[in-house]
Amino acid sequence: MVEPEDSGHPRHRLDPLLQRPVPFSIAALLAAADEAEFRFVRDAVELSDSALSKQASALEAAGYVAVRKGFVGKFPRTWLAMTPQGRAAFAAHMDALREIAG
Amino acid sequence: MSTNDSSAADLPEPADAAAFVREAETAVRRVAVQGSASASAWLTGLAAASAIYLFALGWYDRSDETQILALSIAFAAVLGVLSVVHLRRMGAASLGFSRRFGVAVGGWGAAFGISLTLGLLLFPGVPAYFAVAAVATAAPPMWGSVRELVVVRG
Repeated sequence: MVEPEDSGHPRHRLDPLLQRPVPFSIAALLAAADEAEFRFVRDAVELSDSALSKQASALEAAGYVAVRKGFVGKFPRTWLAMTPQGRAAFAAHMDALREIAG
Repeated sequence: MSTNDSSAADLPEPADAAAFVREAETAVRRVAVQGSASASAWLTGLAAASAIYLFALGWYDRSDETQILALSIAFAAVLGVLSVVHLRRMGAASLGFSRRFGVAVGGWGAAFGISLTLGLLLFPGVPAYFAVAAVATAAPPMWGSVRELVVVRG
């Protein structure tokens, strides 16, 4: 039996979290990367450190993003990467958006 | 994650959906330029430094230990500086970069190790051998560098 989400209007396949502009922007960057440094994402999405932390935590809680902390020399760095679950969700969301866009 | 709780008010119009798609395409480009351009520069530096090091080694005999040591220290220092600069500048690794980078650096490591071992044991002070070894060792990182530029160009 076909699930309703798979057969109807593409809006059924939109991901509620990724429908929000800021999480979408973060996910779009991370989907294009093996991983990205926190500052790169912050500057690209034009957020403050605290705002990006909050949004990254929401994506992490959804299982879409993994956070890795490390050092470059003496300097602490935080790296963000999309999980396989996040990539699948983003790909499905993009497919739905393309269908809606026509 | 359920998608049934999307209210009609939240649903994007076709123009909005198209804008989201364009933003995602721009993100791909941004990550490719930022990540791969820096990696390409690092790989080119690795290729050049390795080639110069091996080519220079060919002019020394096995007994020229002081010169060989000085040359090796200079080579290691250049690689160290290149790596620190690269790691500080690199904000993102484009999709598939880890695999491509592993192949390029793994190939370099194998070629470098074999060339150096054979050169020091069997062909010390033979510039022709080391010239060939320099080219062979530079080839994998140069290939990797070109691959990254292909990613940047899209």
